[in-house]
Amino acid sequence: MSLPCGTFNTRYEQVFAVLRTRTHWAMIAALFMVLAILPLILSSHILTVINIMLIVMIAVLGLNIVTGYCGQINFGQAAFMAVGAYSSGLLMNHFGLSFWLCLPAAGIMATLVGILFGMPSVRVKGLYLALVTLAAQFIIIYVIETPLQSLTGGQWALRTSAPKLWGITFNTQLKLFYLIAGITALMTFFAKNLTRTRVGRNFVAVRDNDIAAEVMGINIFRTKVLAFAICSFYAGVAGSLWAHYQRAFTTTDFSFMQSIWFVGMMIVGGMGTTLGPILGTLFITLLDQLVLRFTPAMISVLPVLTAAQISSIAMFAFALVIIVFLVWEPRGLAHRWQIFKTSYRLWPFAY
Amino acid sequence: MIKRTSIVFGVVISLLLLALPVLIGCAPKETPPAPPGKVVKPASVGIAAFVDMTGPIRAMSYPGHVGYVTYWRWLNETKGGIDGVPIKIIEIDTAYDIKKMRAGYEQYKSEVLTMEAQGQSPFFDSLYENFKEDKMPVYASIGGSDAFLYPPTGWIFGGINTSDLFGGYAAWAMKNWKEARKPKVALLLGDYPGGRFPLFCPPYLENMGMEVVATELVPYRGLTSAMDQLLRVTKAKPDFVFTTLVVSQLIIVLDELRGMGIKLGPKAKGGDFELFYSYGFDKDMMAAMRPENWDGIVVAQVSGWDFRYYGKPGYEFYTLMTDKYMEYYNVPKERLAPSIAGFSMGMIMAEAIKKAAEKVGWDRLTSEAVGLYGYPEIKNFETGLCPTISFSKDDPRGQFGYLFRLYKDGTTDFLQDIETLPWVFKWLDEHGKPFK
Repeated sequence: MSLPCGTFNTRYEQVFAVLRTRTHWAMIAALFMVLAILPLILSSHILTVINIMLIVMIAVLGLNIVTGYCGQINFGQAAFMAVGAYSSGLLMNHFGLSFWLCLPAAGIMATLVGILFGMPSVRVKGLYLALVTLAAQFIIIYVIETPLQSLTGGQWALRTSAPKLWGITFNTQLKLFYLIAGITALMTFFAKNLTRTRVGRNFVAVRDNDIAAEVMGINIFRTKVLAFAICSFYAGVAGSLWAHYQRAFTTTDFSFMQSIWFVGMMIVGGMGTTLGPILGTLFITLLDQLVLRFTPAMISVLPVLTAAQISSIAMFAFALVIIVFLVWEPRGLAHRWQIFKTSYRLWPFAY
Repeated sequence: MIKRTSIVFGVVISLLLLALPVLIGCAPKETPPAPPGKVVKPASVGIAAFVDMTGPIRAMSYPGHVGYVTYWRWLNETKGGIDGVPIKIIEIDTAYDIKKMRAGYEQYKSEVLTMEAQGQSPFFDSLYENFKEDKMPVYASIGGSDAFLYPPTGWIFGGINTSDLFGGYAAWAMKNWKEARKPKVALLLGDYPGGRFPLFCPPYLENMGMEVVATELVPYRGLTSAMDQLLRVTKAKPDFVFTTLVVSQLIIVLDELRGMGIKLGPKAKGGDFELFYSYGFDKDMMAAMRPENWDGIVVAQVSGWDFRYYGKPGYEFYTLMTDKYMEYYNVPKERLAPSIAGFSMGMIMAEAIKKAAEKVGWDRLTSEAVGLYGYPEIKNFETGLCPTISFSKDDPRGQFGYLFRLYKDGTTDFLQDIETLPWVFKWLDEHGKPFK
């Protein structure tokens, strides 16, 4: 990675530092200030969109660890999220646990389920692993809906309470924003650092060539299962946040289509980078919001068309944007951002 | 070259991000207060419609919506809206995704007087607290009435609960049951929220003297076989089968039943069992079925398919609306017509807005007023298209009566006059039976 002009690494710690220069520190401080102040002037609707986006971002960050870094395809992330949501909701409803205990417990419960479905990844790869995770998506939802019906309420909504801390109830979009943004920042920080540890490098080695990695002494089984475990932990945390954000949810919220969208967000953002899932989630959410607004806005412009036809056009455009984008930049937004940064740092010189 | 592309790209993304607040509506619009002493009618009032247009339950929810918007468009064109105030409909495609439902609700709640949602169960499940907090009345046609949430919240109106339909049909069946033994009932349910309501019916049915011998859920996957479920149902040898399958599933099931050699109708008349379907047929559904397949089926009819019962005014209005739909959207005659339920839903909502405006005046008309003085004040309202509508804060179901019709030998018969349906969830609640 190129450094800003005049910046040189003289120690290993400098090479591995996330925030390398004073400008970096200033920018991150400014970002946190904006995140702290901006919500105060944003409408409830925009905060709703941002809150939902941040929760999804955590799930996509987790997915990026198993798929982007470790190379193991996962089409069941929404179901792992469901495990977290239901665990959190049930622990709160039946045992009266606080949200702050439910949140990690949900992550741990999802981790256990993730380990279970991650184990086959040692024996099966590629499309076959995709089928295993696809099965996880349907099996988990089936188990929640049918065998555990008496506990989960089956297809009926499970109702939970808003998180509380020191007498503050997080029951408005603004309060929830600070809670969700804080947890998302923590999870992002962990994801970023994980990739720079031995474990993270093991993930990349397994992704690039698992036989070579094994020859080098990496325990493939442990590495792959660990990747699934961390990925599921992220999903569990996202699920728990979703449960207490929505305060009523059903299995419909964790459909197969959601899992597909998570994969889509990761690909559009750029697999194998921490920035990718963030940009991908932002990009797709933005497009989604445009599509949502498109139909009501265009009905008066095109009265001869039904709302469904206009909506279909919007969905078509949505798909087209993604296709064009992937053709133009298959390595995702994060790569394009990296090129932009490099060019910016060199500007106005051409070398 | 790369540098230039990257800069352009970066600028575009930055602009998009900066434009986000504008694109998704940063500031809610505020209506200027009316001058004192003079009632000023607004230029228009908004209502929102949440419907799945591109998602998995489109086939179920969209036809009603088309009828609904056709009615409003016609009303705006011919009468200038309600009391001369045009109605602006905000149509939101949810694609059955709760994220879009919640974002759409937050986005438009300040711009509308009331909302409707068809077959959008997650919308009601996740947002019913918001309806109460925001004082937003919502009309639910199917799969999300307040019967979902007994005791009712007071802010969700409309909708018929399939449990109540089964309760009504069970009462009719018991009235005509001649044998000494208990009649055997099987539930063959569609695996979607509205379809699953009757899962809680067995205690009620058993209390009526019926024996529930099988309960089967058929996954909602469109055109797939339900042979496994049908084998288990037929093995239990029921006298009655209650079903809530969506139409596409029912068409397959009727085909499969015929293939199994099952004949619909009372055992006393040589049939295997009587099949009761929770929704009515219309001519488009009928066209998609083989006549010999639906021979013997009993359906709950929201409106007179041939308008024999409701009479001429309803038929004339339906014809007018259908013609308008074809005119507005340039639809050929042979194409599917919109659902009748959509027209009546529009009429009911218009009545609610009108009543609230009469009570508080157009200048002070809010969603809260529509919720407090609109819907609950609708009593014995005749649309000409469906049974009489009456709402109250305590009972927001609206429709209490349904017709049961038997399809036989290419024609149809009404089994009974409109009778009041039981409120099954209320009964379950009063008798300490779990229902949610």
